[in-house]
Amino acid sequence: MIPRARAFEKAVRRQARKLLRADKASWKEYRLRRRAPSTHAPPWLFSLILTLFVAPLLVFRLRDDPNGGALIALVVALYGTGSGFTRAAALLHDIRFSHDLLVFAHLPMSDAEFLRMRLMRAFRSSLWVLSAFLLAYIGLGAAAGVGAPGHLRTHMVLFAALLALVQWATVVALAAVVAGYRPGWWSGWIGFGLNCAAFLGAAFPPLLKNVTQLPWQAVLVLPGGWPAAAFQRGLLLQERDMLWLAAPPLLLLLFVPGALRRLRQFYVLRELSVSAQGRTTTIMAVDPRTLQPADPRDAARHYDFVRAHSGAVPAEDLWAAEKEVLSGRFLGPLDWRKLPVLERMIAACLTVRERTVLEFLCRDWPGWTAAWRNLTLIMALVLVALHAAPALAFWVALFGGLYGLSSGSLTPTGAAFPGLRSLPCSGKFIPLHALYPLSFGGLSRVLLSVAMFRTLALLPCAVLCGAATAWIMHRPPAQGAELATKAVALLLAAQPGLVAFLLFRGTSYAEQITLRSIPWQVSLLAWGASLIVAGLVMVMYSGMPAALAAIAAALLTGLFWLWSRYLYENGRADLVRTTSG
Amino acid sequence: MRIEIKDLSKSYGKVRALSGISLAIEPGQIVAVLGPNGAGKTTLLRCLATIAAVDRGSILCDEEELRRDRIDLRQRLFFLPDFPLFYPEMKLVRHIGMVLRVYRADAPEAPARVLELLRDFDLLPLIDSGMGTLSRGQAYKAALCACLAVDPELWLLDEPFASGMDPHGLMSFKNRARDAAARGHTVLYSTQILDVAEGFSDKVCVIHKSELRAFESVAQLAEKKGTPGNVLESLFETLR
Repeated sequence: MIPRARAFEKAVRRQARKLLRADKASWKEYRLRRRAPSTHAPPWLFSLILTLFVAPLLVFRLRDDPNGGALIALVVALYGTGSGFTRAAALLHDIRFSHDLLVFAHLPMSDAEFLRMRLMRAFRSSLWVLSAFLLAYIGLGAAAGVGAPGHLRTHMVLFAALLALVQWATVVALAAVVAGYRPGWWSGWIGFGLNCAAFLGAAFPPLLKNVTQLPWQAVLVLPGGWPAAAFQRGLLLQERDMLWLAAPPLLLLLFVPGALRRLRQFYVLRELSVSAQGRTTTIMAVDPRTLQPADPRDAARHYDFVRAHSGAVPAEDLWAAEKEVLSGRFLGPLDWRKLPVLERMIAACLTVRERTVLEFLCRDWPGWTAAWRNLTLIMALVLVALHAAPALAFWVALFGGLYGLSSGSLTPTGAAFPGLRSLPCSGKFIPLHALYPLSFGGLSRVLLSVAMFRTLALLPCAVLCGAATAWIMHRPPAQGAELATKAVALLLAAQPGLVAFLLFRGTSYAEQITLRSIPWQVSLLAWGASLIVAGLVMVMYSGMPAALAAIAAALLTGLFWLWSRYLYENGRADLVRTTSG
Repeated sequence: MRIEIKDLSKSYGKVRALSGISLAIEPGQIVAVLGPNGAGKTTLLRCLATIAAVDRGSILCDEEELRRDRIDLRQRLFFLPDFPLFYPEMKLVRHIGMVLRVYRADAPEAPARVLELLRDFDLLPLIDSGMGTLSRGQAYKAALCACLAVDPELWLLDEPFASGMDPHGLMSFKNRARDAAARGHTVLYSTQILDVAEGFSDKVCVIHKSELRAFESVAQLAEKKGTPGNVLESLFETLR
């Protein structure tokens, strides 16, 4: 919540409008420039779409299967717990690295006041979760009460709304408690994984079959499972004495003051050096207990004009610097022969110019070989876990898959190319590569080479994993290997489109919905849909139909790339953006 | 490099940033782009740098149309924004090396040239400092050094006189720009400082509310005005 002086704004606006109306040209300019309708998707839109998708789905499940309460309780418990973790991660990110820190740090506002503002904002944003629970619970309560007498049905809906409130309070309290312990990246991933499981389970119930067959008390392992169990047992199965299950998670609220105290203790805003943190934000919240004393060498490295001209900078330092520049080492390319195997293979296939472009895009040679090795290791662990506990196949595949996606194996989408990122410039954002004489074709060639190599490197690993998974699931290993090969083939076919999307991410076409950008956005959607269709055909058929589907997907990808290239290189795409994205 | 801008128009949504700008800049000219805030100065420079998409019109460089895919032409120009873009973690000397390599300007004589620039701009002791640790003026000087090391035929500089550079840096910049202009290079810069524009330009390009209001030398403007005094200040007063 950003502090506002509404009365002041209103008074100034009224006076200004009166003055502006007196001059026709000024009034025209004012009307033209006043808050243009935003063409950016609001951040809550995605949550709303998911809620509107899942809540009716659960209601229909209950209508189709009166015994489907276990699945509903599980989905709600997973979503309730997952939301607690993701909200904690979002809150921590917001208070540590928010852009607003830079704005408010220059205003006379205490750290505690700023933290309170962030907390209020997090609380307000959690109301979307409440709306999701209200929608789901009231819908389910009404669906379960069909055929019951009127007053009973009203009671059921009221109780459902009350349980939705308890569920939301559990999420808020869980988020605060988790944030108070300041977890690392894993908090967000656990939350994301649980939310994914909830949505996948709601859409495809067989995925959660193993869990729904467990005794109903199993859901109580999750903090969000208590109100869900109260709903299932107390309202759906009419076991009124089970409604008490909704009360225990409220005990979490008792820990909230302590968690907030812990947050306040660690909340100290400090200006940190950009290079040390590798971020563009220079003001961050840090834990005072983890602060290291400043390195005196850092200060010594800063050049002082007066010191230099008074002879205070030792002459030998200047001579050393001169020698370094004259040696021309700074102009030399990286010695790619000394790089790890995957990087070396990629570099060997590029021309000298392309290697220069790749060095620019990556800033330093990235650890692709290390990422590939880690992914192989994780896949091996996933296979062992699958072999040891086939019942957990869904969960192992879910979290293993999420790790695989996050490890940047699916270049170019997964890998970070710093040269493609947008940086603030004169009140707007411009992708770094836009300032240099680099063409769409040149950039694409390099990105595609990297993507092709990394995807091919994934092939043996994927084939082995596919075969082993099929064997563990009592299917022919060849079937699993074939499926994995098809997935990699589709990934390869998609690469030019992914590269085009990556380069267009920094343009007005990808950021705004305008008459000019709509054709490109439609082609993007068509390309995405074609990939999905091709994927389905490849899963369902083998031989010629699968090959034709892959070829068709590759052709459409190629067309999308050509269309994007035409727009980009003919100067149709505006690289100046209003948001960092 | 001769620049010819024909009927250039650019809008951001409903807001017109440039409308129907036409002008020709001869090689060896230093042109100051002037105009009130929001007039379209930076947009003009961005269009010339092919970063902003042009709605209508064209830009010709030596009679050839400038587009994003004309890498040969883009290698002959250098755009330096008022807040230069760089990798904050990259060392200063590596940043310059990277720019030279991307511009294919890493000739054998480049190190000596870079050394001379670093000395002149008092950046020598900072060659191993991260770009993100430099002050604003130092970062601008480092980016300017990279530009000067490339030695482009067309310099496009956004607000170089409000960049935080110290007086010595500004002096060096002016001397080098004059030297480049004498060698036939073209320098186009935006500024709000009228005194600077009056003393450091062959022509001034005045943009107001997205339209070109004047593109003449200060002497020609004074002649038109017919009365002595600060010509640009009077011109700006009439624009309000």
